[in-house]
Amino acid sequence: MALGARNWLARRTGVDTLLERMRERQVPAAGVTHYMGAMLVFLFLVEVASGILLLLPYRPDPANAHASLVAIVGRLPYGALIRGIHVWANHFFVALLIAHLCVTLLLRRFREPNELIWWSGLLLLAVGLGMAFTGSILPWNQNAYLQARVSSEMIGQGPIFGPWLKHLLRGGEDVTPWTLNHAFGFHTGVLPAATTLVIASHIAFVQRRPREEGVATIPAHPDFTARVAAVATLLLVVLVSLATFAPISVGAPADPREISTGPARPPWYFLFLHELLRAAPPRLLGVDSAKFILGALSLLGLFVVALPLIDRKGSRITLFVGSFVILIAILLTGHAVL
Amino acid sequence: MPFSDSLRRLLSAAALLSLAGAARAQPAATPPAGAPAVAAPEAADAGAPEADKKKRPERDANTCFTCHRTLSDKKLRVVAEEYENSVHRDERIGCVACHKGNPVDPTVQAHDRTMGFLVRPTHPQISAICGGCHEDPTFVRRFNARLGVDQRKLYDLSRHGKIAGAGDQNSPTCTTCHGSHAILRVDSPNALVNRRQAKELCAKCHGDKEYMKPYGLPATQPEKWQKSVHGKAFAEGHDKAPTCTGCHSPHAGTLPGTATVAALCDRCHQDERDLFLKSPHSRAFRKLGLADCVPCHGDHDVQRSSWLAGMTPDSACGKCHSKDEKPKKVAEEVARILTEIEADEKAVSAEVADARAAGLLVPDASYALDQLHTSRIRLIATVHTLDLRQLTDDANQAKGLAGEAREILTKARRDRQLERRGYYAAIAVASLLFVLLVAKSLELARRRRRSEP
Amino acid sequence: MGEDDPEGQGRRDFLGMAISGTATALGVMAVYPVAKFLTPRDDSGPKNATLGKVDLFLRGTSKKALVGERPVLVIRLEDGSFRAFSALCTHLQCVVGYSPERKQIECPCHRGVYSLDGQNVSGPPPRPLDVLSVAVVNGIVTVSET
Repeated sequence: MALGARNWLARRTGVDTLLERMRERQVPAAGVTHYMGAMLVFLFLVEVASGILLLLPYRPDPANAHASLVAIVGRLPYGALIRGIHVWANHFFVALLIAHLCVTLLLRRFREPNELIWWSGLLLLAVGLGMAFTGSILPWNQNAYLQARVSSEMIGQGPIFGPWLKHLLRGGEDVTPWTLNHAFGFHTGVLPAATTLVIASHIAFVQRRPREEGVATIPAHPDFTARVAAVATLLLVVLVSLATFAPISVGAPADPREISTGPARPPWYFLFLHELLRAAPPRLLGVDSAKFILGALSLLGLFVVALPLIDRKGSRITLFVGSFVILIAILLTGHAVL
Repeated sequence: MPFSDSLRRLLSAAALLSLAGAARAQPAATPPAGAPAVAAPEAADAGAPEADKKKRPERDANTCFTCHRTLSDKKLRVVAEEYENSVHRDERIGCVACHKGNPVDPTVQAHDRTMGFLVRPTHPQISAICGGCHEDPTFVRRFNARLGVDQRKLYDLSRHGKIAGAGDQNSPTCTTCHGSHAILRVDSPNALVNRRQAKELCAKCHGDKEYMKPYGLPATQPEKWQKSVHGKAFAEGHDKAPTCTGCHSPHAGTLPGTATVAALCDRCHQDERDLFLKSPHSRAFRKLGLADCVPCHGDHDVQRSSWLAGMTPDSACGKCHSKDEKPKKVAEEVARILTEIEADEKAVSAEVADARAAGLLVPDASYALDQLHTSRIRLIATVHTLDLRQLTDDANQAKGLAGEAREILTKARRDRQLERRGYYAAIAVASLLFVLLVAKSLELARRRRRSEP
Repeated sequence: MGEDDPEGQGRRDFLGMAISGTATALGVMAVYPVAKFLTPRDDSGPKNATLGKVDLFLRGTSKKALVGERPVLVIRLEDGSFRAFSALCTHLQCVVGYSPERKQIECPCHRGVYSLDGQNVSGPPPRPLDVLSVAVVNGIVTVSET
């Protein structure tokens, strides 16, 4: 009967042709970036699924946002589980994004003909961080409000586009109910659509890459899919366990009048920047230190974007400099955490 | 049409301004020889009746002030300095208003007694002097339309006023509290009579044991109030909490017409008083000449009251009813009900907190807890009726709410247990799937290795 | 491709079936929480409402109120007593109203008519209106679900 169903589908859709193509397509057997990428796609799908479920009972206006979150977690059956999966998957997603980038950089895989893959990947990093940031505003608890304020202020210190980006993120000059609405619109509409498009193009670019010589490969189906499915299942088990046994607090509803209790801690992936800003003196080289640091980071970012054009041979310098920068970032983050 | 309206208003305003300007430009009266230069009379005085003019001499003709301000003797200079910052100076009420005399006539010596000048008005004279302006509504309302004019009348009816009028120099008069020269608006932060300093002001006499001895009054009230729930709330910044003037009228002591100060408790505690009036105590107290709230709650040292009911040595009921059977039973029942509901609320609150600590957020239970709390507060108010039936009904309602909260929590915990079981089942299946997939991957790898040469 | 390994083939088939079976089971297990999440039973919410002072509620008139999100109709009869019903017509949930002239409860959508006891008189409604209870507490009229 299963065979009959498969035939029925095969005649009407292209499923079996797709599977055949995948049997022929070869994937590097030990391509760590391929597995990371597959996990990222899986995590994205988990986020989309849990996100759609969460957006149904959520109210995106400041008066009701936190209350609706409390209702989801406290009153809706399995609401806490679904929200927990969504939040923990986000942490894994960002961690994996950064790791994927670092590995690709250190292996110097940005060289030709992979420029488009590199750039679409960087774009994915941007929208991924954008989704994480806008998502962290939605609970509209004390932490979310402070983050909306402080992070957008931080971004506003960036060069050239800084103030414009800050205006865009805030939905105005100041943090207002519009900020929450904007965050919601971006998080549930604009950014998921953009991410889907960029993921599709990223995978398409990867597919177009010519076969590398001397690299052991396996068929995309069933070998690669089996391995990916195994890791995905494991990841799912981890996510559900964390969501069940390590719930994340909903916090207290945002009260803009309340003085920030302690320094506003950004999410862990911004902690290195937070440390830099804290340790810096008020002025550096005659410029406001926040502007200086963000300017320097933007320059670094530009450099990373331009890497395929600058470092055509994938020299060791990139490896050393890259490792060094990554190490510094890890140390800063560790220092902030401890 | 709005435009012509505003145009009309603009023209009237311009007309008024030009008139005022013209009035100011009148030629000055020839100043009398020998006296300091005198400015022209203010336009505002132009239409005022004669008597008013005496009360408000032109500012620059206030020669008392200009002379005293330059004196080297500090004691004499300070009166001018104090006056300079006072509300009387702001309103251009001059020295003459209280001290009489004539500062304008150059032929008259300063402090000439023949002009009716009073260097230091005597104690009994003071309230009459202040009352001269402050009892006159037409006069007062020109400066402050909202200021009352009954202060002197109330003062005369009060104990302070009566014994001051009989010659007692120790009893306060207007200047004792308001100051003589440095008189500020009551709501000014530096005013001696500012509400925030009421206790300090009254305690100057009423907190002084020696001072109060001749009157047979204890000097404990200010301290008692400070330790009371009212005093503590006031110190924490709750401005609506009563200080001395909240219950004792600042000028009248006990307000005329009220039987006791306790009649004022219902300015804030209206529900409790209404309920009390329905109780058998209300009539009994009246017959015995007892004030309403005081026998149980105290007067100055009111504390939190939920422990008052019952027959323990500390309780209020025992003060009168230690030998009466029926009242004893009622008191014990009331105490029992209150303790039970309080214990219920504490228990439910702890359960909700425990649930939250375990990661179980149950907003419905928190809501029921809030309702329970409200119910308990209402119950405490209802105690004043001593109506056991009503109390038992209300208590049952509160217990119902506690039960509701507990039910919700139990259901939440049960749901979570079910979810956990589902979780373990799902994890088991997923782990199995993982193992199978790993086996499949290994199998596929083995196959490939075998098929490769 | 391994056709020369019949034992292996049997194992492969078993593995393949086992994987499909387990994956399907997992999928089904995931459906249950999602379904419960999307269709919760919501029996929370306020169970009563107040309608103001009893002296201001004239005889022979009606008032509408909301108990939670649900409209209710409260009628004070000529003899001073109260009747309260859910104002949702039992036909298709239009909101019914009281007609003082005809002394009956009417639904404007399809001309359903109920008596002053909430019983059906005419029209398409299949059941009587849900009854609520009214109490006068401290002079305030309160309607609550029974």
